[in-house]
Amino acid sequence: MARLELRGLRKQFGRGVVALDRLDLEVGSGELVSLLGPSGCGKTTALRIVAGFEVPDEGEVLVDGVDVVGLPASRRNMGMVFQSYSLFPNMTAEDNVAYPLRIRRQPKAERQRRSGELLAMVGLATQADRYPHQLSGGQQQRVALARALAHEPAVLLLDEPLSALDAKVRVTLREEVRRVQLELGITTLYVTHDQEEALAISDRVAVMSEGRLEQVGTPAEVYASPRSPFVASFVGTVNRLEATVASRAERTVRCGELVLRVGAEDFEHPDGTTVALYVRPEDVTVRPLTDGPAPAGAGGTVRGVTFLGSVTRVRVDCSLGSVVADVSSEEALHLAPGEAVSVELDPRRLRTLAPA
Amino acid sequence: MLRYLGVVPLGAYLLVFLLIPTGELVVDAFRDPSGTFTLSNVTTIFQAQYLSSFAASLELSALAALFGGILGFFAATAVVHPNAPRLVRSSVTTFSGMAANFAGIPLAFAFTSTLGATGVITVAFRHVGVSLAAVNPDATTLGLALVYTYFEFPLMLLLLVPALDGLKREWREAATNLGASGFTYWRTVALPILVPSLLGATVLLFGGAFSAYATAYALSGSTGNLVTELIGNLTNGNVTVDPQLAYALAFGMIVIITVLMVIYGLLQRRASRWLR
Repeated sequence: MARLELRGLRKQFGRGVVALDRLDLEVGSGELVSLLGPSGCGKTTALRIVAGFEVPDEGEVLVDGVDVVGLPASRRNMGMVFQSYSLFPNMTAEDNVAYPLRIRRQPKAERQRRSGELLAMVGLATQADRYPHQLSGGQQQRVALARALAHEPAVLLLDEPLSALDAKVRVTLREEVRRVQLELGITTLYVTHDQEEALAISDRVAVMSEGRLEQVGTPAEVYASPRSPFVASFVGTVNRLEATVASRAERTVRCGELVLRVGAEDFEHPDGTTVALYVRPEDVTVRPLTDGPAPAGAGGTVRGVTFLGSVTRVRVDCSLGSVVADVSSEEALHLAPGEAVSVELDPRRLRTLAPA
Repeated sequence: MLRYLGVVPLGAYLLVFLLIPTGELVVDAFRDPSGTFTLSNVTTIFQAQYLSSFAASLELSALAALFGGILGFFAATAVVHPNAPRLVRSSVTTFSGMAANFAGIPLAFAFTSTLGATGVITVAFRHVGVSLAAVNPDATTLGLALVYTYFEFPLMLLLLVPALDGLKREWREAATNLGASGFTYWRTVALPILVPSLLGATVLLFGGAFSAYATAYALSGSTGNLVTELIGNLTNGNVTVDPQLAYALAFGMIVIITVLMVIYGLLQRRASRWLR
């Protein structure tokens, strides 16, 4: 197991397009870290620099403390799974997996043993003699994963490996990637723009924007405690409301007609300042006004109801602004556009950030 | 039946300009001038002088396909290289489109005036003590092969550029990532993928050289020994006119090309088994 460190990586393409702006990141031994960000944020560039396909203008890529920037890609002992299917079409699944061993002149028996073992690990033992075009997209990516692991690389790199697959296969395969990664305990850097995917499989998530790291943390930290407006809005769905700090000492803000006590401990805003208040849809409660005594929330009107399966997303216009809430689909049966409702925010889940 | 309506024009074209003439040619190869069936025309082409013509044509075609193929392959590889300036690609492919069709009398004259016995390059080299007799296009198979290469290699380039474009960047990067050198990538991945295209293009080059007539005729006049030149002499010659023998020689060419196509088909099938 190896430790991967990216130190001060900088990369500029052409005139003025800064793809990476002094990126620092550590991936511990056996850890899976996802680089998460929108298209063009520099995540793939970072991965390609680690793999050796791009040369950084500045910075180091350390594997167990040794800078590999000067090494050609073929000598970095890394395995990579690409976004598009990159299996060699002229080779069977078995030959593809055995390819790195063939390059290393391993005996044929050993190659067959190892490729058989890896294909079994990704559930494709019976497809060994199939050519890539005879395999589905998901199967091809499984073979690609097995191939990337065949030579026991120090680091595994995955560049949006599931983005070309359909939704259901994506979910199955991401679980499989995680299972294999945990089974082998291989240090892994995973690039994706899909926040759900990143949150589901990572030990830590590194959120990137415009060539810089916005936040690094466990999926729960990044989701529950975003440190920047970008992270708050990019990771998951979030309501952004305007509020004024009522009392720093009491950690209270005024939002519309409500005064809310913010649960987060790092509440450092001076009294009277305007802040952005972030709350997830699942932390918003919507009650029909016909339910018993007058609720403590802000009054509003339902503007839209979207069925999403187990939950239903309800959009409400109220004195706080436009708020979306995820309510159980059973409760949502009583909600319809135009209906008067009360909106309550869970104060323990409120996050405040200085406006961007 | 309606679904085949679209291919009717192509079928009619093939019938009128390929199948009927070929059929007539084959039938005439087995007739004497009075129209009676005979095997003598076909047996005649097995005489040493005609067999040597076939050998010369085959040798020339093989050399031209080899030279054109190798040159065209490397030129195409350079043109599609990711680091090659766009201007190079567009200018080279435009030039190739023109050069691939530059054959016959103009090409023969171009080479005679440069590499012929009194060509400017030949004379210039003679002044510094170097003889270019071995590549004289008027007199040697090698020289004639070089002339053919002039239109064969751009054709190869035009045929291979799309195939090379089809090589995905990820294949090279995956091979490199897995430890392969550039050479190993070409040997184990790129070339095997390209073999069907390379075979197809080479056969086309061979066929083009095997059936070429005007360039060779313009260079060697009536003294040439290629099958196409013999056919020309036997149908239009001033001394010996024997159309029946010309048909038999053309029939021999058809047989050779058919055999080549069968071999090509078998190789292609083997090389592209991963596509099935």
